[in-house]
Amino acid sequence: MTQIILSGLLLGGIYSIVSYGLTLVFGVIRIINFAHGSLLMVGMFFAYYLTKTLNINVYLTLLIVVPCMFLFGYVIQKYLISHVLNEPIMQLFLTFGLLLLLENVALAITRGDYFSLNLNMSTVKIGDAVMDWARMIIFLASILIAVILMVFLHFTNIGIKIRAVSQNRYAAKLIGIKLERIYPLTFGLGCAVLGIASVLLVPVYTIFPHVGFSFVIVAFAVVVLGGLGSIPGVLVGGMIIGLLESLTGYLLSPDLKQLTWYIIFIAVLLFKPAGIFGVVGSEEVGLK
Amino acid sequence: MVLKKTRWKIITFFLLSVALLFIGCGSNTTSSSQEPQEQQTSDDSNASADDVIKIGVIQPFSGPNAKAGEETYKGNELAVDEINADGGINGKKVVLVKGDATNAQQAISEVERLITEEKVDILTGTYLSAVAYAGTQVAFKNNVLWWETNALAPDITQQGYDNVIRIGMNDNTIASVAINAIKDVVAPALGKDVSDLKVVIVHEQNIYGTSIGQKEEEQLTALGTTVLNRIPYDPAAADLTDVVNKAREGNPDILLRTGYINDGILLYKTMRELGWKPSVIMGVSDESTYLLEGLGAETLEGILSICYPQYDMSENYAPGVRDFVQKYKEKYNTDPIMPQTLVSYGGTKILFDILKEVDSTDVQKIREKALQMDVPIGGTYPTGFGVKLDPKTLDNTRAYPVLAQWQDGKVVTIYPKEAVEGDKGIKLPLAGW
Repeated sequence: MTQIILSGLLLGGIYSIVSYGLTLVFGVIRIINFAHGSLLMVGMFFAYYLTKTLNINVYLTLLIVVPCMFLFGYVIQKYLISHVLNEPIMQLFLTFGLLLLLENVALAITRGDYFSLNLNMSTVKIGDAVMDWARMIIFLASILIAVILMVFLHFTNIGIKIRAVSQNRYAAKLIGIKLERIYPLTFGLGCAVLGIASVLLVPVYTIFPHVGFSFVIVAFAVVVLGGLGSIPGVLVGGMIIGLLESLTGYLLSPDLKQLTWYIIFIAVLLFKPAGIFGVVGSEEVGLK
Repeated sequence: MVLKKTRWKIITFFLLSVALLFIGCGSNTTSSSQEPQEQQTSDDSNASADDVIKIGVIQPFSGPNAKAGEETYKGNELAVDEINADGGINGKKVVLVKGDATNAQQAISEVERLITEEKVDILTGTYLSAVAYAGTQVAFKNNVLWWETNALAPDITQQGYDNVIRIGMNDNTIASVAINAIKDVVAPALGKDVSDLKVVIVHEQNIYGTSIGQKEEEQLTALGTTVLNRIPYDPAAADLTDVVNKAREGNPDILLRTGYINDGILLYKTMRELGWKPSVIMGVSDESTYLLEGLGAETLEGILSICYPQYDMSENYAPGVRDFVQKYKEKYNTDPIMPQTLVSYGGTKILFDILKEVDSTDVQKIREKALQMDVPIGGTYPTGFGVKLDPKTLDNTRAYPVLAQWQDGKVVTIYPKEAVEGDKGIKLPLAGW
């Protein structure tokens, strides 16, 4: 049972780390970003490509992938999404179009091949339970990212502006915060965090154009469960879903595990739509 | 503002156009690959429709399985080159027409197009079972023969259609070879009796994995082997630790797996991380080179795979297999990369043998002739397949896969013994990770 719980927590770390970017974008800019999984895929392919071509340790690619993903996100927001900020239906079309574009470009380039790194990292034993370093690193990184993001959002000038915009974009505008600067920065930040996730996931998963699909639905569930825009919500929500999956898979059946969190997802939407850490009313599109 | 809106519209239009371009890249691929086929047709431009036999090939020529679809198609192409060089079928040239389908919806429209516009006489395929399943329905309505060479899902031949013949492997023959191999080579290698073996079956939860998993369970139980558990799982799951933890309960000797590539890599990686390796791991189609890249030769060493007939089979069992490799190299300037090519080639050759005899593309005549065929396993076709159709499902009950094993980073055929070249043999039990 120790193994099941530890595996669940490690899985929770994976779910959290892919969800931070989504909660930033979803919580602040109020965009339902269908392309979140595809951006993860792009980051993973990029990290894989750099590892192979530069012949370096995959974790070193963070230095290149993260800034590039920031720029990519910044550009997407500034030149695409900014044009549909007040048109929710168009936002869906746009991010869905982006998903199709990114996945099909990846398909055209890779011809649907699978890519994976065989790192075979060492493991750590805790009693009878075994944990591998690749997942431990993701778990630790997910906690570290939560702390850094919290500090950034609460104690830096830009962070405070981002929070102000997420709470009331019109009031924020009235007091002189430039939305046209905050939105691209937030989207870029979301993509940069997703870039960290991409690199850390490469040693664990096989990369192919649809790899993001395994994570994007669960990422939405994590964000809704934790509360829109809430960083600690993502950490806790990820852990809850990871543990639930692990326990259901082991105690009931692995083919039922996703059903369990789908039910929780719907139950949260029905009974506590703001999520665990969300501000009541924040689930309404754009607080104000 | 107006300018801004206009600019935005242009950007949207551009974005959508690029997306559509890539979505449609399949049809581009198809048309570019159709060049040789058009040439074939132009060679016969003086021939009337009665002088050619048109075969529609339905494959995913675009999308994530485009490469596999193209490779499978090459088997048809090589068989057609061969028969046409030999004067055709009773003087009639064979022409292939491609139909690109990556999913059920596309399968329906492409099969309709091939039948109504291209006027194909016969349809064949398919790398994807879902495509075959949908395509056969349209073929049935139009009473056109569907000659299935590759798809494995059981439901394709369970629809009660008398125009659908599966000459390739199916879930029954896969499960049979897995269980026969356990009885004939695995148990002796472990020094155990089959009734002393403990087996756990792990499979992806859709019809492909479930049907094979269930059949394996039935046949093992009939043999007196203990099946500890049968565990279905979601192949898109982000984590399979629970599957491994469940599978290792009761300390099984053998793990049987049916799934896809990415979930296979994740499953074996998880087993490696958790430090659990049973004495025997036997997967379906675990001979993929993608597994080698993802797991490395050391991890794969000794893993068994129930797979499509391989290129290292003995010439006695699979006559013509070396010749096929040679022809493939000459035409495509590389070694064949997937066994599916050989399977579609072998299946197409069986079709041509029947067409020569019946001298017609009439479904009923072909079905009757196919039902009469009684070819033993090994010694006739380059796949080693025999031919004996099940009169109820029209599945070929003698399309047997082979058992191969990863040895020193290579896939080596080790069962049935008639298919084994030289003195290659099974190496068990598996060493730790």
